[in-house]
Amino acid sequence: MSTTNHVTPDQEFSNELKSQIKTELGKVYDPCSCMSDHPISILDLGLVESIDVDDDVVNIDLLLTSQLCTYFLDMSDEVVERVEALDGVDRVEVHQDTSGEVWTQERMSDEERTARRERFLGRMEEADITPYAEQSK
Amino acid sequence: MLADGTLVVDSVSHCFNHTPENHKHANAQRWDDETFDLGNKLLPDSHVPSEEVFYRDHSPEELARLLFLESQIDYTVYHSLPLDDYFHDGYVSREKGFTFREQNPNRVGMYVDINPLEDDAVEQVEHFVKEKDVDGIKLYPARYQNGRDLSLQLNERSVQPILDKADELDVDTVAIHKFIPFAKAPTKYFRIDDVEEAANKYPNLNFEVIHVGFSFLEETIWAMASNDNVYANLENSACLVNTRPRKFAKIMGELLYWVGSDRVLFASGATALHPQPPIEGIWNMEMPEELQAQYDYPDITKEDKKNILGRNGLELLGKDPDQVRRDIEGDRWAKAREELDQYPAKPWSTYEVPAPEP
Repeated sequence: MSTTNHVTPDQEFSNELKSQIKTELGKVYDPCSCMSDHPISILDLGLVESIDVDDDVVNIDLLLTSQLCTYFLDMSDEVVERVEALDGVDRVEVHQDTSGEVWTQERMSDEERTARRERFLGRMEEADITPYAEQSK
Repeated sequence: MLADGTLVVDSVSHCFNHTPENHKHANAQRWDDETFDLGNKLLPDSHVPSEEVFYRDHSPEELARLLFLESQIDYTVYHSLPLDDYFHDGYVSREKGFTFREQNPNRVGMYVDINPLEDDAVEQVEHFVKEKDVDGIKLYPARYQNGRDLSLQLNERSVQPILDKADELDVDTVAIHKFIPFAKAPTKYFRIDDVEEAANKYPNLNFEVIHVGFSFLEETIWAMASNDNVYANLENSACLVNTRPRKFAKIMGELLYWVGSDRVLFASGATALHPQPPIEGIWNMEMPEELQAQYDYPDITKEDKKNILGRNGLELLGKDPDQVRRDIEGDRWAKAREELDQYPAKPWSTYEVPAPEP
């Protein structure tokens, strides 16, 4: 279960525009995950720290899985493109959260985190790999 | 050296050159600055170098003092880097590495960088193995050339002749940078699938993947569990033990559960980072009970820690720990340690500020 205050896929907003923005963010995929067979959106991955709407200006903060991530600009470009296309949005600014908060797996949606682990365990089992720790028992 | 006499072995050290004169590409400054920022992110404040210390052409003498006087490291493996697409000297030059080894023959091993796209790359491998007695080959998975980021993953046709030659010669290990993307190279270059393929194809070579833990951990575990010639090198990621202990505990938990501690190597990444904090961090770490309960992770034992901090590194190099201990006993650095008021010496205190004239 998530213990942080970031934006989650099932979060509801009273502001309709924020809801639409959240939906658009669910269509932006994490570049690293796109190299796997199971792409995951930045929303499901728990990268969306906050969405703020001030009249027609939208500010979105992303917390990256690593502060060393060099793909921020790729994600930022797609977020801007998608959110600026919404009615009522004039300008979108995407910021990297550098508050010191760190991304952990717990920020992933429960569904994605569980599915990911099950895929990993299934692959190990299919390959008949016995964990080292179990071998010595 | 650990308290019980176990030698501490650093599986990656570098003499970086962070001077403007070394820049060849517009992004070189950014690369320098991001490397400096690594220290801010991965070290305790007490061990972050000043800009005056960091932004210099680090010398072999400075690297030796840093490792052997400011940390518990007894033996190190210098990796030169092939980044001459960004830096005139490759960022970490071969020449300084050979000088470093020559000055400290009983304490330094050497992996030499190879750019597979150079016409004489295969001849270079032969030369460095036969004439220079290197311990390993260092590769990067991408290269910026003619305005493009080219893939140099281990399954590329351009890299096969390098692996073929290494396999044929008396060199056992190929190390490859992974997990930390750089420049605009696609993320897939930093995944480990190509290592898995190569490990399978070349069972007599060992593949040391660098920076394990930062990303693609499950893929790494899979590659290691499926191939006993894949090794996890903790360069830079070892520092997470202090700055992100829970993340590091999960990295170690996965490794210990699936693979054990025999193929996990401590590395400092000095001169980019100070070497001592991760040594103390690993030695003092405990596996959180809740992670053991949740994921079945085993506890991390003193034996595991000795393996990671020293034994595995020497084993991979084919070195007898007792012989290394005899070779370094009473040498220049052993004596210098005894003469220090405090050992390990204070962080970066063995550097001269400003840097001495070359």
